[in-house]
Amino acid sequence: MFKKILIANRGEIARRVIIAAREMGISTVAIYSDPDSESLHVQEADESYSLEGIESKETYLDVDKVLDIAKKAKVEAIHPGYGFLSENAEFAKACSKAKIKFIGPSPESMKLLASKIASKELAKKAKIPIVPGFEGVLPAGKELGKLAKEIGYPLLLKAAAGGGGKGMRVVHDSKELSEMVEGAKREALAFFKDETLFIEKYIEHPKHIEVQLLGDERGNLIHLFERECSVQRRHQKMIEESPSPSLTPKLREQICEAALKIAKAAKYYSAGTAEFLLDSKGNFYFLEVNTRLQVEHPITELVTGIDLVKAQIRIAAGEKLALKQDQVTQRGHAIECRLYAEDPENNFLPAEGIAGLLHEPERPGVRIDSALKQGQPILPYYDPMLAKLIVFAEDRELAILKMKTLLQDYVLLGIRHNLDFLKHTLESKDFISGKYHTHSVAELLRTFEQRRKKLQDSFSPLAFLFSSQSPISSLSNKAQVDPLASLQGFKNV
Amino acid sequence: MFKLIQLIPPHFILDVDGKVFKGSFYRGKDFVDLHLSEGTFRIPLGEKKNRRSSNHSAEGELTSPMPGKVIKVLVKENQKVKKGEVLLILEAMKMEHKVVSPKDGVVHKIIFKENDRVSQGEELIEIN
Repeated sequence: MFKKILIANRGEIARRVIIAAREMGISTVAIYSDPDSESLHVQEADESYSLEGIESKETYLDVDKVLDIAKKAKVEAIHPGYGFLSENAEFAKACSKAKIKFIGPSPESMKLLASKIASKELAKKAKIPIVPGFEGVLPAGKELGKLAKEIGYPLLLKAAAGGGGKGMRVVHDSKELSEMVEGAKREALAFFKDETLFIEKYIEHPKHIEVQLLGDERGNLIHLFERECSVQRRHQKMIEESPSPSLTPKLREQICEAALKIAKAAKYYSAGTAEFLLDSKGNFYFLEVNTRLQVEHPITELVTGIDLVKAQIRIAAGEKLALKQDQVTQRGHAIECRLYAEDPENNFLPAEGIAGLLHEPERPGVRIDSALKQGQPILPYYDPMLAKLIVFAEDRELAILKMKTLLQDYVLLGIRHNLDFLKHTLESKDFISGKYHTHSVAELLRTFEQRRKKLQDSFSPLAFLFSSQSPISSLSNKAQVDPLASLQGFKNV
Repeated sequence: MFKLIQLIPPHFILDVDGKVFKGSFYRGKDFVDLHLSEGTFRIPLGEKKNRRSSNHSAEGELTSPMPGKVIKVLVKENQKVKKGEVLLILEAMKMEHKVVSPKDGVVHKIIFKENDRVSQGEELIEIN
């Protein structure tokens, strides 16, 4: 087993890996940018080194800096967390060259699965369904009609050169095909100076289902069942749950088997996630494999009882997978809500501020993965995700109630965030029924804005309480201070 | 009608028209964030020079800075007053607030009398 590892990340995931390692008796090394020098992950590691810089590209993404520190600190392995260098095959190779174990999959499988085209080929070979489409130059006239019929309506036309909805058209039947193609071409040309279009099947109201994979370096590979991540905004996940309320036992088995097949074909090991889209008719389509630990991994951990980070470390240390597939079961229900620094009154644009008042409730069945510290300024340099609020209960209904209560009791003041929108979503008919999909958030935002405005107006008169005229205006924010909090940063020598 | 029941920063208990609100607050530079069971709300605060929160206007009208009750009117209409002179006293949240004259002048109109309830921003008195 490793004696010392470096965590090439920050925030809540750095804390997550640090605690897993420490619980295994492994010494931990943290790295930090200038704005992160007082962060919790720095205080909680056994050693810490400055990356000397502010922006990601000159700190957490700087391969040379990270490896220099790793060598200086004499670590045996590096855990990349998620984001940053976690899916960088070149970094994984560089670690290997420096004789430092990269806690993750092989650079070869990372490269293979990073390519959308290559991974789709892999899926095809493994006879796993992918979103039917054609990624070549679109034919014209009769040929186009034939291709469209082959793929099946409704169709989605996409600009090859760009995204953001520009040059996109949904085609419902053959009658509007040529008109839509012309329109999409015009838009693509106007926005991206390239009228090349791709065509694929349009999946209406899709659900996002992903499967957790775990494999050792001896070829043993298992799945740890699925997560549903359909509550998304601008392709950013907001709420995830496990098990998925949308799967029948048969569908669950099929999707998990499909995930295993693709991972096996890529000779995958360590932790990874295979993502799929599920349509309203029970058909699923492979999207891609993420070759890293995911943000939402806690809900799988709670439902299966398996510590994924410790498993990753053991696998990297050369150990055999401790569990067989038939020993993995799902028990209970877990939900995760992601707290983001976004302004609900300003189109959810990223917000800046301070963790002026923070209260993270502790109670049975609640897990909060966060790196927030009261008084800490929250700057826009990195990810806008502030914390992960996770609950675990005996069933879905109880989990929803537990999450609602947690969202009501969680306090973070001094920065704008999406907590109230998370609560609004959790209370919605669509979410409670389990019938939500990846486009549900748009409608939820509308009803949220209406409700929100009413409430905001009713509380505005309270401003006088805190205005300069008010007798209490001179009162400070002094909350009850925990005397031990000031001792943070000191370690037993 | 607001009644402050308890205030131990950062917690407060307010009675607003009979409904009790329990929550916490964080005072920022030009805003205050409130946490209530209904959610988290940000209330922008005006500066001292801001017309909205100041209870003096250019025309010499004075508005109430907060909802409360007029407990004493110290002047009469057509009375000459000096800048800084106390015109009336408001009571809100068990505290008294003196409304003073912004300039030398004559009391033109007294809009509220003793024991009247006023809302925030209501015009109280006009000085010419």
